[in-house]
Amino acid sequence: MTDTESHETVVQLIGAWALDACSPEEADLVELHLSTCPACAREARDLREAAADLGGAYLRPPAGSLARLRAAAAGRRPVATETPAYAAPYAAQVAALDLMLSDLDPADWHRIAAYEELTVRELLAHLAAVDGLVAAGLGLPVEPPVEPGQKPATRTAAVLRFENGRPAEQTRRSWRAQADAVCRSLAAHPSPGTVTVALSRPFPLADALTARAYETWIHREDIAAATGRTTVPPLPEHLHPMADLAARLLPRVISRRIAPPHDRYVRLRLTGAGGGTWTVPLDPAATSSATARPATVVTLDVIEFCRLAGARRDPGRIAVEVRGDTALARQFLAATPDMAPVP
Amino acid sequence: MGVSALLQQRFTGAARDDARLHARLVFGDESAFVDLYEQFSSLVYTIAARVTRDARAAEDVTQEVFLAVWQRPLAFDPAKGSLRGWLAMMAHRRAVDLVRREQTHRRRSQDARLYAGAVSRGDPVGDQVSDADAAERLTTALRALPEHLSSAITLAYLEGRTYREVAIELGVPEGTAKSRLREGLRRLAVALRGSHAHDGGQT
Repeated sequence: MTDTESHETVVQLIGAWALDACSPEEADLVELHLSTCPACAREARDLREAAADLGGAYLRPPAGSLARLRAAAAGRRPVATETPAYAAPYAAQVAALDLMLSDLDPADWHRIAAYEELTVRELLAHLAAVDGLVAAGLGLPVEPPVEPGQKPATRTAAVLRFENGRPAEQTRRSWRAQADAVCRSLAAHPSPGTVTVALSRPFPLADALTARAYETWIHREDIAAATGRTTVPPLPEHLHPMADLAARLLPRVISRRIAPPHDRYVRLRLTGAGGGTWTVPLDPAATSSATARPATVVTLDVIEFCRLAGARRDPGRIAVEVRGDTALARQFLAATPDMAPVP
Repeated sequence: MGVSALLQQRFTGAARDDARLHARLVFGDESAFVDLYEQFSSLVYTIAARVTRDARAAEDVTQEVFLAVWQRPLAFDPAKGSLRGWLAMMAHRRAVDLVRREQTHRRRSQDARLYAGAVSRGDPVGDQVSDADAAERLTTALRALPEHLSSAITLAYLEGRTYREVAIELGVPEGTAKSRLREGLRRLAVALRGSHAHDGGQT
């Protein structure tokens, strides 16, 4: 059937399709056409919305229906593990990545997903490896055991050796079980206080968990891109602490890349839900000051900034608005991806 | 401005709410699942009850729909419509499938009474959605349609008939049945836009 013939047939059928009044073969024909014809897709959408109102909504399901549903839902897909508020972004990212992994085909696990060499399965093992440093810092048993002073890179190598040859599903289960154990153990730390865990260096517990949420999200996007899945960006209230962590870590990283004088400030205005304004000193020893007069003001979307700081965007091509010292702004943006491996 | 553009405008606020609820589901937030249920269980259950006319079948459909959303929230594509429209579609499809399977069973069986259990008549929900009651409950917009359009739509959507069955029932050619279904829905889409504009976008 040509496109024109298919269009003519589908236009006739579209009302019946929106009411589920076609044969299955006709419904397939309509849906195939909708994926290629914006005009029909628009009409289909409008007719579907109109159909949704036809039943009315005046009956209520019987009492107990919700309780039965919640019990059944937990068996179909685990909920995000309950945590203190500072770890909620981590629990959420773990649940979303696990959801995506549950939908992968066996071949998807072997696709290259990051750093031009790590497969999806290896990338998950890498996440489990660094999560394991947090788990060990909290006193949880981890496998293989963490060596004293082990850094993320050597830990990753050790876990990759350990996971090599195990089925992908097993890697997934042990990654999720360890993440859930971390979340549950945090009940003992309702406020993060002064506890630190060793990643590339000692990090306050809350920052370590924000960093884990951040990396889990960035790799979820890597896996989505490698396997053609859709993703949802973090909730604004989860994105904000990630952007804040990046803004606080930036001075240490960029001072090495930006020429003196370092007694200057960059005002970072991150737009969109979860954004905000940060004043970033070029000198890591200086304290951030909201009243300091910045040498340059850099404005960009908060999600895009987080991807840039995760080394997932090209600093030269990212959509940004600059006021003040444009050369400094360019250096600042160029140095930002350097912080990706920091936590 | 066309119907689509106006609907687009009206749905911007609702689309933001949908996007947030949908994201919370993706992030495994159980309270989002409860919110989804509070918001849409009446819609889903009413559609299922009116099509199946059976309380148990309606509850089964409702459970299946919400479990499917929890298990595969990424199947929702905001470009194809609202969360409300998606849930209504899943409820309707499942209910219609159930009714059609049941009819096939009955046609094939020697003794229809043996197979009439799953979708029965005369139970409490069946009474609640009796024809007289259903006519009473027809949305104002549907009642405002000319009779030849509203009867075609009611048969297809609420009785779960195919357009071929609608054509036979109304004694019109299949092409006429198809065009009545489309024309009726198009008018409802326009009326929907009007009522939402009138009540400030509240559903």
